[in-house]
Amino acid sequence: MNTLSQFINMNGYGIYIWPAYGITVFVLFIQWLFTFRRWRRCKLGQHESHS
Amino acid sequence: MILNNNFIQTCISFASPKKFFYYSTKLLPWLYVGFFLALSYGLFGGLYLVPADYQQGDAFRIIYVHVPAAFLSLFIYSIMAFAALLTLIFNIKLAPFMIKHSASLGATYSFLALVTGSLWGKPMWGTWWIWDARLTSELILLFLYLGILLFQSASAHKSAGNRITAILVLIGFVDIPIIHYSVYWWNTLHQGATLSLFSPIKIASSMLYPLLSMIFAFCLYFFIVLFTRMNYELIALQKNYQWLESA
Repeated sequence: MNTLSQFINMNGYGIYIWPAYGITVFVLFIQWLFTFRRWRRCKLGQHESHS
Repeated sequence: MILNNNFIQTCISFASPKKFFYYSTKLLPWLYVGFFLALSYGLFGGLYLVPADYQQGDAFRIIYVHVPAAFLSLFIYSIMAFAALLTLIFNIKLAPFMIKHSASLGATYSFLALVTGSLWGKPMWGTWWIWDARLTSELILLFLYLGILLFQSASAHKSAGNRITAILVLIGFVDIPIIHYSVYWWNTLHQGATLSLFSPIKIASSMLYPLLSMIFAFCLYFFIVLFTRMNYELIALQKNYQWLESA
């Protein structure tokens, strides 16, 4: 538990490090999600038009 | 001479929508695998394995998202400039799609570079922002990306709009060397390049490998999203063509 809290704290820099990683992961994930959903809708539309 | 012509012809043949769709669809699963492996090692190495920097302490770990985002923001614009040349010189159909779908990815990476840089700058420089040459030129790059996106969405005639967009991209390319060399040309607060092709690496190897892994992961992410977007664009445009059934 002590190790985990030290890891999260990052010697006092955790308040800068975790938001940097968090914003990066969040933004990239959302961008990918929107892209993937649109691709899936296109693919479903393609299958329906050929069936 | 014949070999060069054959090589050029082969490259140009891959610009056909059918071949691009086929090969990018085959390649995508491998890109996903590579992305997750590179990202896993980069994050584990950067956050856990690598020791703290002797000057910056653990705050330096932001390098593992900041540098890849900044590198990709320049790399993507370079790709767009190449696609702009293909549009103007060879009139390759896929090239405008590449510009269109790369611009939003480039804007995302520029934004992330600025935000993560700001989060790094506060504990190190004592400020969230400074009108430093590197930061200012990166902000201009973000505006360039946004301007290209807005212009593309506003242009009424696709053909003329594509060519004007390509010209705009090429004009904006002047910002790329400015960003890269800003730390050498001006007295900047931003530190010099950590990685360089033509000079010794200024980072310990234990810190370097996770950084390279993260840069590679961000690259693969770019190609994953770009190929997926170009594919759905092709599906939407050519949905009545039979070649899609074989893809």
